[in-house]
Parts: sequence; structure tokens; C-alpha cells
Amino acid sequence: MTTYTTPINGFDTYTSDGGLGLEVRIDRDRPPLGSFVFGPAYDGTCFIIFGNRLYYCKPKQPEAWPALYYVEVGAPQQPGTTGIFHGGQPHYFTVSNIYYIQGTGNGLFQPIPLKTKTGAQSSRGAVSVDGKGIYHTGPDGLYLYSSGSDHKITEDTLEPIFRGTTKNDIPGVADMSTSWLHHYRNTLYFGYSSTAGGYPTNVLTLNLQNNKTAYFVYNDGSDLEIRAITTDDTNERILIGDGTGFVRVIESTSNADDSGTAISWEVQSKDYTLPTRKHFPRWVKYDVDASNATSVTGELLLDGSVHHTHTITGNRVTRRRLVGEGNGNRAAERISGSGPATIYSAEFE
Amino acid sequence: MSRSIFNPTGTLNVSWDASDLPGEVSDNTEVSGHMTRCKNLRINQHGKLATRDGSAKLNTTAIDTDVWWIEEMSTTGTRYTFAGDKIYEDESSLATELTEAQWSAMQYNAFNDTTKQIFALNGTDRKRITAGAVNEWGLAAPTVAPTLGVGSGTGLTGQYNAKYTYVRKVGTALVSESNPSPAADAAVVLNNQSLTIDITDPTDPQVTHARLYRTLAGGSIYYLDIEVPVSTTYAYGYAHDWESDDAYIAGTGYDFTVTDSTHGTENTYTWEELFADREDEDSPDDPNYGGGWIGSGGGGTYNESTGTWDSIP
Repeated sequence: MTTYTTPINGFDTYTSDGGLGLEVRIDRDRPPLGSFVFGPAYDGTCFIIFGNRLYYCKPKQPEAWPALYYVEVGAPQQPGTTGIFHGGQPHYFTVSNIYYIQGTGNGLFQPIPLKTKTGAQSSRGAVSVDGKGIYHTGPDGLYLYSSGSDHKITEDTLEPIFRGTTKNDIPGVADMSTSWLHHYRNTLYFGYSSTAGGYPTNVLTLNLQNNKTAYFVYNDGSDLEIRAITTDDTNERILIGDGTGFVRVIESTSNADDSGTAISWEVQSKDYTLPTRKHFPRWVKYDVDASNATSVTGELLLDGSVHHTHTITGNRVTRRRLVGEGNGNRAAERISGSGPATIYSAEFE
Repeated sequence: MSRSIFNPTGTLNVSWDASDLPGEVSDNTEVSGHMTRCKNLRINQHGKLATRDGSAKLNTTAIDTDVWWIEEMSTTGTRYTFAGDKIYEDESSLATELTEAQWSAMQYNAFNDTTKQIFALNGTDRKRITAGAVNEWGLAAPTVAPTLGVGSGTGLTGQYNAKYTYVRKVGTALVSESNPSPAADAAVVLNNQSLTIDITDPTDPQVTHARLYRTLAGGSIYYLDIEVPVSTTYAYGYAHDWESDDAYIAGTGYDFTVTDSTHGTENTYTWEELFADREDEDSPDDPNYGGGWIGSGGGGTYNESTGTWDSIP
């Protein structure tokens, strides 16, 4: 079997001049070969970042990008990294600035630089959260732009991490250019790599209601490299693409492990100190539901070193657990384990 | 004796010195909720921590490991994953040999097209993605000017030129149209004659129609004259290889076919030139020795509802 295509030619027209139709349009260019696309705006305008230009299409016509439909934003040396909508208006990011794109329609768009401390370090380095503002990545932490001011929200609690220092087994940030921010429901997720040029294996979460943070790492035998993340609106879940070629659902209430591997976890208290003397701990109580866990261990630390270890089982068995003789200026409690567990409190005297 | 109580009501803090984190002291008891470690624990319930929710693979066979972007079509739930040099639809390969670079994508549809689509780019490739298909994003303008001539009709007098565009229609709605081709090198002067226009076939499979524009007599502005469907592709069978590759036995004594230079085929019967079947009931999906039809038009009059040729010209 072979094929033959008849050419479309040989049209013989004698339509009168009065019978002709509309004038040919010359504003149907293809989209520019940009680096980032976002849209549509409420009027159907879509945007493409190409160098330091922000192109836009004809409203409601995402396949028509007139060649001169663009505004230059910032200096050519600072190309755009990403764009988002916030409050219905497009916002354009470079690594060091945020621009509010004012106006609607061709010839009316104007980039207005906002008074921010930084911009976005990657194509997924900014998200808009209604009622909060714009969360964005700086080279030294996460920022929240809201009501005309830009606050570094990680300085108070996570500063060493963003200076590249591993602290309490939370790896330091090595490369913000591959990091990402993702907002899902009441949580902001920040993925980062602790290896230069690598992709995120570490995730910091921020609860947007109580502003508490936690550190997540996904591991099904080895730490997962989360290269892409999105929200599956249809099924109401978060999807990730990992560095082993699998698309996964995470934060799934239907799953208590990571693809069959029990989730290892840990929590540690502050260092308790006494003003005039050392701690001489005698016993520890753990209020933990470990009934479904694979294993749970409680540890008492003195001056940063493990002084005594207890195995914890059962559901909220809070009897006193004796500890060995010893003393220290600083005392802390650490509870770690794997599998489903709930930690309520710990106490020592 | 002093008692210390850890009640996880605070937040993870690795910035402060661990002994400077706040606590409430009363009656020889210090209570603090601040944490120096909080790994893989949910923090969304006051006064307690719980192991975070788990994760699971959606695909059993790995796709390319360089995952750039995942876009979930909000209307269907279909996942489109840009990984390596490929695009996957629910983890099945949909397009290959693309540039390996960071993609980004959005979902939208033109005002006169009800089907939401994914528009994606990576600095080198620009793609429009629908269920089961990846096409170029937008239509490239024809680069070859039309060829003009004098036709056999009557009615036009004066100097005329023409351009053409490529069009993608969905049903009867024109969703996308390219910029126009260059004008013909030389205008044609007619004296109560008609204008013939030859154009170049599109190579982009998403093009459904071409639009021909021409000037008014002596004018320089181009107006729509006619819109025509793009080329129809026919399929036809053959009994011997030489029918396909023209490698028939040399010598006029064996040359019992007639060369059809227009279509580049060797025919035994004149009706083969028309790419039409005999008046038996061949269907488009069941090509017979005379040839089958897989296009949207034909040399004869084809009845799509019955799958038969009503007449052969």
C-alpha cells in the first residue's frame, strides 16, 4: 500500500471585487521561543517570558502572538525567571526583582518594579497564595511579599539551612536554581537540593495556618529526587516526577508508607537548662501512640550526646522509664522511629 | 527536683541556639513546644505530631528520568509529563525527539474552541497538546509565494496578486490561521478573464484548510477570496512491487501500463488515474485492488454514510 497526496492547486477564481471577504491579517505570528509561559489572565491574555521581554497573545487567542506584542521588563542582563498571577494581575520575576505588570491589553501593559528584596531563583520559584501574598525564593531564603513589604520568612527559624549549613540532619541548601515552591491547600512546599546542580531531595513544609515548619524527605529505598511537582485538581492530590522516572502521588492519606518503605521520622525538643545547676535526670515519660509503628525509640540527651535510650511500644503507655546515672548542663528529648505514630509529649525529671 | 516537659506545640527551629528556645517555667517545671528536629511529621494538629502521609507510584514502568514538568489536564484528569526528550500521556510516550530543556506549560482554549488544551514550550520547542496528539503551537506562515496564471473563466479585469494562509478549523470554527505567504513575484493582468492560483501544500498535519486572498483590481490590500480544504491523501494497493517503485521489466513489449506523470503511477485502466474504484462496494477501510480511499474527498462522489461510490466521473 502506498499513498498519494493530491496538491491543492489550480484554483480558478473569478469572484468579483465586491464579493471578496475580510482583509488578510498579519498578526498571527507563532509564540516566541520563550522560557516560561503562564496564563490566561482574566481577559484571556497569556504571557511568555523570553529574555527580558514579556510577550502576550491576543486575548482569548492563544495561538496568535503578534510580533510586537511585548513589553521589556528590566535590563537585558537580567532575564525573567518566572511569572505568576496575584490579585488577578501578572507578576514577572527576575532573580533579583519582582515587577507588577500593570494594565490590560496591547499597548497598556506597564512593568512596575515592586519594592522587594529579591525575585525568584527558578521557574518554579514563586507562588501566589490568596490572603497571604507572594511567596518567592531568594538566594538566601524564602520571602513573603505582602501589602507592599517583603519579609524573609525563614530567617528566624531556618537561617543556617539557607547558608548551606547542615543542621540537625537537615541538609543545607546548595542550589536554589533548581528549587521549587508549591502551594497545595494549607501547606507551602519548598523543595531544594543539597548538591550543587542537583535536583531537590529535601522538602520544607510551611503550614499556612499556624506557620509551623517541618522537614520532609521521601525515601523508598533511597531519597527521591523531586524534579517536578503539580496539583492534580481532578483527583485532589499532589503529583511529583522523580529522578527515577516515576510519577508519584505524595501526601496521600491512602498511603502510610513510601511505596512500601516505612517512613522514618524524628522529633527533638529544645535543650533544657537550669540557671544554677546541672540536670540529674532520674526518669523519662513518653506519651506516644506507637501501636501501628514499625519501631519507636526515645532518647534522653545530655549536652548533645545520647545518655539513655528506650524502646517505645503500645498506645500512650506513659509509665516512668528510669535512666542511668549522669548529669549535664543541657538536656533534651528525642523520639524517632518509622511507620505510623503519633507523638503527644515527653517529660523527664 | 526540676521537671521538663516537651509538648510539640511549637515550630521547628534550627536557627536559634537550642537552649535559647522559649519555654514556660513555673513550680520547677519548664514546658516547651519548640523543636530542633521535626522530620517527616505532620504539624497540622495542635499538641501532637503524626507521621506524614505516604506516597505511591502511579506508573509501574519508569519513564525518562529527567522529568521537567507535569501538567494535569483539569478537564479530563489526564497527566502530561515532559521528561527527557519526550512527552508522555499518562506515562505513555506521546512525542519523542524533542529538545531536552526545562519545559513550562499552561492550559487554555481559544474562544471558539471548547476543548481545553495544553500549550507548552522549552525555549526550542513549542507544542499544543490535546488528547493523544502533539502539534506545533500556532501555524507557521507559508514561505513559498503562490503561482498565478490566467484561468478559463471570465469576469476579472485589471492587475491582480494573491497570497494564501494555512488554517486550522475545528468543525466550522476557524481556531487558528497563519500569517500570509509572500505575494506572487509578479501580478497578473487579466482582461475579462479568471485568475488561477497554485499554492504549496502544508507540511503541518494540523492544517485543515488554506485561505486564498487576492487584491482588488490594481490594489495592494489582500482580501479573502476562497477557503479550501487541504490536500486529500489517497491510499492504493498494488499487486507487484514494480507497480510501486516503477521497477517494471524494461522493454516496450512488456510495458502494458500507461504512465500517469501527474500522479507518478503506472496504470492499466484510465479510471485508476482518478483514484476511484469500480462501481462495486469498496469501503474506505477495505481497499480493493482498484484502490481505497482514506481522505476527505475523492475523484468521484463518495457517500460517507454508506461507504460507497455513488458515481465515477
